[in-house]
Amino acid sequence: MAGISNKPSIKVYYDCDHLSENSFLNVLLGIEEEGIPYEVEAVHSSDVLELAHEASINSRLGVGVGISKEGVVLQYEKLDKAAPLFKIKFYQIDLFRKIGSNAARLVKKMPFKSLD
Amino acid sequence: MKLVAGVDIGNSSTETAVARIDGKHVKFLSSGITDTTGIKGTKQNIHGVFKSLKQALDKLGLDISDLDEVRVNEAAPVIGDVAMETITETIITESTMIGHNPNTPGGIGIGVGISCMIDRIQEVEEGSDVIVVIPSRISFEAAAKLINQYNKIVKITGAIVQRDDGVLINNRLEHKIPIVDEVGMIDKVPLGMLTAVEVAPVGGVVEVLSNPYGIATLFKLSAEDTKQVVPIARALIGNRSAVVIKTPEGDVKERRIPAGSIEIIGAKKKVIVGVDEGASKMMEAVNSVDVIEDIKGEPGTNAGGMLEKVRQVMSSLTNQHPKDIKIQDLLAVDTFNPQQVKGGIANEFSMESAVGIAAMVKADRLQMEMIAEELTDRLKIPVYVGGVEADMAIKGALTTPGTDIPLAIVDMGAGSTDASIINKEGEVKLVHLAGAGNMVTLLIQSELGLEDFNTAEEIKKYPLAKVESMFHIRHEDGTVQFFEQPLDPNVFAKVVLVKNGGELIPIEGFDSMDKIKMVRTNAKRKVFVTNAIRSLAKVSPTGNVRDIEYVVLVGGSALDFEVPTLVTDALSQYNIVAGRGNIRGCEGPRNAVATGLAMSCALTNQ
Repeated sequence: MAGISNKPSIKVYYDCDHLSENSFLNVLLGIEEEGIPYEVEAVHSSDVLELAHEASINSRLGVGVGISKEGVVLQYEKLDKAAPLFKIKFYQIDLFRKIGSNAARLVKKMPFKSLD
Repeated sequence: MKLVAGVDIGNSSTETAVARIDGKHVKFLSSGITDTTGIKGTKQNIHGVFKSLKQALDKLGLDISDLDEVRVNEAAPVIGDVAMETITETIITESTMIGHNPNTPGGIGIGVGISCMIDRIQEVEEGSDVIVVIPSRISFEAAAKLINQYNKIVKITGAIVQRDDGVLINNRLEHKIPIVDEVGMIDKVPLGMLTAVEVAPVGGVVEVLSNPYGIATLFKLSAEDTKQVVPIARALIGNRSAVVIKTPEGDVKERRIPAGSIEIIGAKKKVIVGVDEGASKMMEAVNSVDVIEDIKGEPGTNAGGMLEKVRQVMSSLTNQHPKDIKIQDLLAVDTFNPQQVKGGIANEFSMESAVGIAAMVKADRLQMEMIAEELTDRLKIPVYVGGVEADMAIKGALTTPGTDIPLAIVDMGAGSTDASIINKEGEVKLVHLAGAGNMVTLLIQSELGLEDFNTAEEIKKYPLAKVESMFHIRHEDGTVQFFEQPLDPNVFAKVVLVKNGGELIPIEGFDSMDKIKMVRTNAKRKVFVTNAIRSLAKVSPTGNVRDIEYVVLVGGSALDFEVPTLVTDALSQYNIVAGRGNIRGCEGPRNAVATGLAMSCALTNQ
């Protein structure tokens, strides 16, 4: 899978066979507004749980975001692959900024924004 | 041999003790406790009495018809109520400040300029200093582009943004400026006015705009005008970011609300004291009158309204004319109350001074007789109003292992704090004072700015913890607890209450664990330590607290996880042995009066 960078950052893995980076820009903006560095990597996989899990394991902060046509998943390295922290559908575009914020807030140890 | 039950109807709970009596010998069989239904001393209590009796008897497999006698307390006829009045108020007549704390403001430093809508910068004179106002309809990208573009023509020194875009805009700027974001009511920001924006570095607080002379320097204010901005500066203390706008008619006032005065009427003298003189002056006045006959508030003022409200509530509860309701004690406590600033733009809050008051009223004794009669009717067994509550409480308290007469008890309930003392000759002296558990809740609610009384009640009852990761919490005493399953994301990084079953209840808002803990402990100290000392001084044979040796703490609030230790600690400075009671060696501080009532059945039987 994707290469490992040494910088502490949130890893964002996305399904590059079906998505472009532009389609989930708001997730990245959510992370940026909270002031945490992130790295986006293109991966050939459409399993969103797998993407998020791998991302979190490869992140030095232990925080990963997986994005595919299935949706956006926020995962923490210490959690079970099948039971991620947050999971939204890909059509819930209005929640993209918030799930991005929450990825950063997991790092900053701040209360999450509500995704309801 | 007969089966008896003592029932104690308190302000918040109704307790039962069931005992078998064989001549002089009393054997306790079981206890019951339920919430008091209705206000203590009213007919609505009967449901609670039923439930409490049934609970105790069910444990024994017995029925109410098996009882030979029931005794209810004479219900020391006191009812407490609490009220709160704010005595200062901050009003902004023309919007002049934004003092809120967005989580992620952008940039750093301080900027001064004329406020201007971002899409109208072209109208500004070349070379002038500008603070741009960015409403939500303009995206962060467009805003950043406009700022970069126009910075060559005018000098943009800061920005006020409606959306949570501060960092995003800042990251796209060629020259960094301070940006305050998440300003909800951006339409209210006056345009074309001299404006200052300050953002402190991470971990810092605004230093210029929270200083009256800082504001004076930026806006070139006269000494007279500087005086006017003191409330603004004060309201901005502790914020990471702030905006101050100078409008011609702009005016922020801190108004002292005429709080009025209270009049304490004793048998021999009257004392009048102003509420705005603060709690300590009020308590001095209250303590200077030996036996209080009534306390009145000045009509047409907040103080008057506050005491009249208490009187009204009492009169409707007891079916007595408000004129016949006499307020017999009062506990005043200085407190503060975060109030929304009138005329603010971003829901600014200002800490206003307030006084919390608990008042205590003596009600009609007949009500208890009525309850007893009705109970006799319904239960078909004799129900009597037992001896004086204080006697009963002492009798019950003396079942605590390690106690003997002379002994004083402090009964800390929800509505009132009662003290009684029994001397070697068996004579009992008692006093009822205003202020107990409900007052603590009111103070917590006010000082933390909570909307809901129940949340404050829970903060009072349960210790705090901070959720530090998905898998562990740190309790308020510093100990760490791990969990095998990940915690609910809803509690992550929040301050939580740890309920008895281990359930975690998140507290919304940004108050730190230390602050909540401090407010909670101080509220308990202000009410219970003050009242323990005040009540013991009143029952002490010499009027001096030091002449009491042993004190047993009973009542619902003695169950609290920290009140007994606070009181024990304070009383130890007077060389008093004080501690939480343990009725019958098994009930803890509960059930003293009910136990005493059941025991009194045996004594009158001899």
